[in-house]
Amino acid sequence: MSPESSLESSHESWLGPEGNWDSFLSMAREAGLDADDAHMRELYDYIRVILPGLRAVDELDLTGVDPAMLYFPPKELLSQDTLEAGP
Amino acid sequence: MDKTEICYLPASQLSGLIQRKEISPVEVVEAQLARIEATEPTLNSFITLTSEQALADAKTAEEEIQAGKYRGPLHGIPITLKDLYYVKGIRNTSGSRIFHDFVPDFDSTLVTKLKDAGTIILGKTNTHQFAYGITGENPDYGDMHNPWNPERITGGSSGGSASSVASGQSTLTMGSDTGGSIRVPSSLCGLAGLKPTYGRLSRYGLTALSWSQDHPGPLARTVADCALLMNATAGHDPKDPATSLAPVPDYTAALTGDLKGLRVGVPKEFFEAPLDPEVERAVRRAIDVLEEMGALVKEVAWPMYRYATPIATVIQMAEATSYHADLVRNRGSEYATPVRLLLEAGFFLSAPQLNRAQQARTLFVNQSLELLEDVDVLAGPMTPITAHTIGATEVTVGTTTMTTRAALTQYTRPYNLSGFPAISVPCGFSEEGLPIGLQLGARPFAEETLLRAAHAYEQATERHKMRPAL
Repeated sequence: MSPESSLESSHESWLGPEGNWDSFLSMAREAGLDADDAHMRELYDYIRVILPGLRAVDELDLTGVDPAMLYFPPKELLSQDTLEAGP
Repeated sequence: MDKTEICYLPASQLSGLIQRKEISPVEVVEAQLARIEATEPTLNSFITLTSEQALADAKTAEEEIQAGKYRGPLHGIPITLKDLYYVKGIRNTSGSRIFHDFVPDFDSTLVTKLKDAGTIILGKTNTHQFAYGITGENPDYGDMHNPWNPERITGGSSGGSASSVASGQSTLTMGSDTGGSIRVPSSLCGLAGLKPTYGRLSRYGLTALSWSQDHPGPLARTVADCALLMNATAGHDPKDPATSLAPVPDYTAALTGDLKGLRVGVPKEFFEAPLDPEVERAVRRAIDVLEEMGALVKEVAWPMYRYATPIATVIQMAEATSYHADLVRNRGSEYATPVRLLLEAGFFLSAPQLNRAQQARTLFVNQSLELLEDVDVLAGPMTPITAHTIGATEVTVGTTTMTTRAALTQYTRPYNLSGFPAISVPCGFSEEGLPIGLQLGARPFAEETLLRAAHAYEQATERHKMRPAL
């Protein structure tokens, strides 16, 4: 694994596999959810099931791959010189 | 003509009768309103019925046609719209009581086009809340019921749209597909349903779920009717920056019935996934029929297929939670619990996770494009099971027990993630009498190829002519 992909893979989700109830509540508050709601226990159980299933994406070597959603600067903001010079 | 016969006529036949003034749009709408009255207590297809307006519009259409102002093949044809298509002056709930009284003050671009084509809107159809679910179950407006067996799901999220057409309540319908929401209910209710290429149809004026994976599209009893709806709705819209400038062909011209030389790839991964043996037999038989009709069929490999669901799910969760963030924070208890949980779970994804999913999407699209250089169409099952019982949260597929959500979206996600077009077409029935669907996918903007293949297959079989015993 390249350093780049290793660095990317080190960014686990906020919860992470080591997440516990207290850190979950802390993150729920950060997200603006009502951490005192009785529903939080149901949400906690739910995310511990659903989020690990999404980690299959981490198996892929994404080194040097641009994301599908690229930002394109509006053309009218580019000078004519820049447009003519190309990338 | 018998009123039930009128209700089940495809638009492609009905339009000729209307044009020749052998039947009036008023007769058609009256027949379908009677059909709705008789079957709606069983099906629950609608959130809002617009009977009076529909009759008035039908009368206007009749007068225009009598005066020689025939607009084309959709003039005077009834249609239903999933309740997330904005129609000026008609409430748009998106399947949630939160928006029970929301009335848009403008038409979505697709509604404008459908009105210009002369369709008659019968009403707004029931949907999984905010289109965020695949079964068609809705605690706010009641569950949708499958016309082939009302104890079974319609599939979702465009479940009311599917049941309205499968039962003859309407001739045509429009739905939307973010994770299979056109194709799954089409498959489970025995319809043709097309998810067009991303950017082929405008999303302007439709309630969003996942901006980069939302696809409006048609469901109908025949492939030809899907083509008619594509002719009326496809094209660039300045109000939707994602729409393409690519010219819109005449999709009905593609329905040649000829499959000779069409290269059909069958990804082996489709059959390595959990799959009901009865569904597998029907789908393999359908692929044999394509070959007998002259298609060149071969097995192909699609190694990235198994990553489609996690990649698409990360992106969908992030986008849907962004869209609903304030609402779910402040009124979370008013959502259906499964929808609320999905939306709240989106807050626990990280920015790098989303970005990695977008990088993976690039890989997925590139591999899919390479695969579709060797073949014109990919063929496989639409869903691994037939319609399950309403209320079930898990199903057994072959020997595997899995959530209904995972099962029903198993074959749909690749085409939402890539934005490539895909169509569901009926290919058989289970021993219980439930419809089975064949899915065909193709390169971006190859809807003509899909419609040609699906239509040719459909015409070689009788499944599209069968009706539920309602």
